[in-house]
Amino acid sequence: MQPTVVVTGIGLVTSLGQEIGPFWDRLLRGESGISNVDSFDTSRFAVHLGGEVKAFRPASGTGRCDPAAVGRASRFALSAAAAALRDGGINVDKELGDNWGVCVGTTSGEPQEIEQAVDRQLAGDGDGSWSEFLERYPCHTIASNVAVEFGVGGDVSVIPAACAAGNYAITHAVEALRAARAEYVLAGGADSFSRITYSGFARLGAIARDCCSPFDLNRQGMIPAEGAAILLLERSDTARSRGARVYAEVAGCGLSCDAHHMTGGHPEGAGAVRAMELALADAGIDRRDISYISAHGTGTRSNDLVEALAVKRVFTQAPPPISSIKSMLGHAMGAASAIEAAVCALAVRNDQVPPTVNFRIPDPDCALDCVPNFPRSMSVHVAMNNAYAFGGTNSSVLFRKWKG
Amino acid sequence: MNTDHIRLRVKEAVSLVSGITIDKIADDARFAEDLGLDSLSVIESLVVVEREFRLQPKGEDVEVQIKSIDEAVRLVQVQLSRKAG
Amino acid sequence: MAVRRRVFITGVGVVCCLGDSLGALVDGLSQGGLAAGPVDPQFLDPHLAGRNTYPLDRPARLLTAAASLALADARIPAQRPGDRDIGLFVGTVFSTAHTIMRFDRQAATEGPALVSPQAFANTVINAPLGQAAIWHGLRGINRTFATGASSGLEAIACAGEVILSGRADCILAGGVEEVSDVSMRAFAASGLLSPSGRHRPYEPASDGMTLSEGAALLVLEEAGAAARRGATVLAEFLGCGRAFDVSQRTDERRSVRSVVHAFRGALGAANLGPGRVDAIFSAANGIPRLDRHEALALSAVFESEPEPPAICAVKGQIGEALGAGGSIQCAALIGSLRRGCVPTPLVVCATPTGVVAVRPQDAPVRAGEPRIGLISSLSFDGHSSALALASSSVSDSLDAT
Repeated sequence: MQPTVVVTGIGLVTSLGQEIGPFWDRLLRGESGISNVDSFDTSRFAVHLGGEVKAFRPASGTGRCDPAAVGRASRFALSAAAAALRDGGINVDKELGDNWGVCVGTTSGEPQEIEQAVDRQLAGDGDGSWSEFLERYPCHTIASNVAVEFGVGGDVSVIPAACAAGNYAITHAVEALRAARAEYVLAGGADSFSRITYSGFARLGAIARDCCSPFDLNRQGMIPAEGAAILLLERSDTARSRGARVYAEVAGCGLSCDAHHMTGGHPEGAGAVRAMELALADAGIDRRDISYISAHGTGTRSNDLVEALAVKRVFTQAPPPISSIKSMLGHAMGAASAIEAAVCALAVRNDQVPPTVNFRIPDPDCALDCVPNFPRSMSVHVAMNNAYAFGGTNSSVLFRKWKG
Repeated sequence: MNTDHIRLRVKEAVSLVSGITIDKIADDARFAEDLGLDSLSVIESLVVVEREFRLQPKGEDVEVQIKSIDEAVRLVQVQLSRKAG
Repeated sequence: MAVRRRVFITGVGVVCCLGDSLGALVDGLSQGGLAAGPVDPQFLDPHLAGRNTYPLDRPARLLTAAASLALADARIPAQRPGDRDIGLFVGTVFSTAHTIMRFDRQAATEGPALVSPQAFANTVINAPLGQAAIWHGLRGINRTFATGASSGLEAIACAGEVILSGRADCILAGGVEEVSDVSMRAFAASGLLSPSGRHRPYEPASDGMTLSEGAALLVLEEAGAAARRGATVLAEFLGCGRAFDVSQRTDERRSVRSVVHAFRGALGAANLGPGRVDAIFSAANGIPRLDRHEALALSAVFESEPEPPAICAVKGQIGEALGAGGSIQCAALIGSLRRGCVPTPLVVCATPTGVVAVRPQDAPVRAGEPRIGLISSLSFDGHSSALALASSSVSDSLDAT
């Protein structure tokens, strides 16, 4: 019998705030974290909106890792990890030790380090900053920095899996906990706002001019964003013995690859269907027991279409309510599915689900109950967190109500 | 610049990006239906041509969906005349 | 009680500075040649012939070629719909950093409308994996690993663990790294590159390392699945260990302790005493501080054995390929197990002054055919990984112990 893995702490950095309570209330109220991009000049673009974290106030940690010496995604991850540990009731005065792990998902790691290197090159600055680049750019440093800050001596890794990276990191952590390679893992995702990401999506015509409206007939596209979420994951027996408050059980994980296209989904959603089915099988849960789906729901024409098709293929009878918080936060890249995992855990614990905002006209091709514009109070027994990514990467993670 | 020259450059770009030999690309080929190109490859081909002609595509150029060699040639012509004007 | 699953290695694909086959790699190492550096196009291009390579940047090409070779070596035919889902686990440090930097420079100088959408698709760090999966139709579980210079070994270790856990039955696992102006400038500015170009693992006077590139993938397969398709077993995955040094190699005692922890973890997972190990393909790359920490850990774990294992510091010859390094070491060990001898064995031991030295074969070294080997990887950040493999000829006798 494999051990049960539970969520006992949540730490967030989002454009809708960092504290769990206010963040959840703002999501339920359908507030928007979208604003005009400040971090670089968008005058050469036809679009200007982004989901930047403009009032980042780092949660205090131990001070062992100097935030000035690390990149922005690392600073987000450090803050989210500190918040998750505090939320989980873990004393961080002493080093956490060898039975702890850190696993952080990301799309781009520290792209701002590349952008600064390019700016220095174009300005004719010499090679002086390249050694700093080596210390700050490679994405594995994000997890290393968290490990140094809290004294984590076990499995410390970054899983780059583009926009499904948060789910990938959680899956990696669940595997380690089930196999008793770790007793506690800080798992989630982090990404910083990036002009590289923005330029690419803009050239593909994928960025919305006015708002992000997933599953709407006239949806314009996605809105790039940034942030981080870290979940404290542990086995239920350790959680029980230390009297920890449990948000939810991580009941199952499914990953697959389309092996079809770098940026587009499989036209019939084949890989997404496999990921959902693998997660259900891993958890031993019947599809009829899924109460709610947190959609990938980027708001692009093709993503929402393929995603709706895949969900309808798995849930042939009656697909559960499915909402996209990207309508409020934008798409926080590798952090997105980690933030959405936190949302699933909160939905399961609170028996509430956040809405898909900006929804006006149903798209008959993605006819689903997307919890339009208003939150819903409902019994949430199991929440399914779906995320898809460049590289044809698909992931589903299931969060089940914890009855102790 | 005459249309034939632009068309040849567009076909060369499509060939470079897709790996389809140029003699298999008809003058009026449709990208998806006749050549099996996805939207990423279509935009990539356009960028290759735009860079070659040193064009500066604007927001509306980026947002329009180009479906065939003919449409691509027209888009390049519009951008060229804007550049000249 | 359920029978413990076993994981066999049924194919190896390697593309590196010494060539594009296990034979070329082991021959090159045995002949003692120095070949660190870029991969010659003749080792890469033939494995990508006949298909449109435009979407693939250099890391994707290296990885896709290694996957072609690994699948061919394992005699797994090109994927057809309905075939089983094969996974892909890949470690890397810089991944497509060169593509990302060029993309951003282009956007900054020529305007964001003229950036290449195809290059954008390759700016995600998992792009090499995605491209190789598309090329070969690998639809199973996939994961890119970033744990610094231990990334490639970590990918193989985790693939083995995932198959043991029953979540997959066939995964291609390894690493990929390109040498580009990005990695060269970063390492050069940090003073880690050997000015003489002749880095000497474990020698305190070594003046640094040489950057190298390549890709290696192992086909890891659940024993039953391998048997059902009549696969040839090259080696058996026994287990792995890992640790993180929070001093980030600044505190020797803690750094050595974490490397020891990784070695003992691998031995424990493999259910082996240190005396059973014949050869260790170690991490040493010519950076004196890290090499010293690894040597001290090797001494702590293995020195009291009457016949200590032979140490093979292959990076002295083929350079530091970062994310690909551990996977190329694995390939070299498997090649050596197959061949029944190890290239240029060394022995690491502590001297009376406490300084670690390396002596060639005048010290007692395990004689005869190597049958059980370890691979180790250390990152500058603090990651240590170790992995245990057995030659196919002993995996049955191991079962009885």
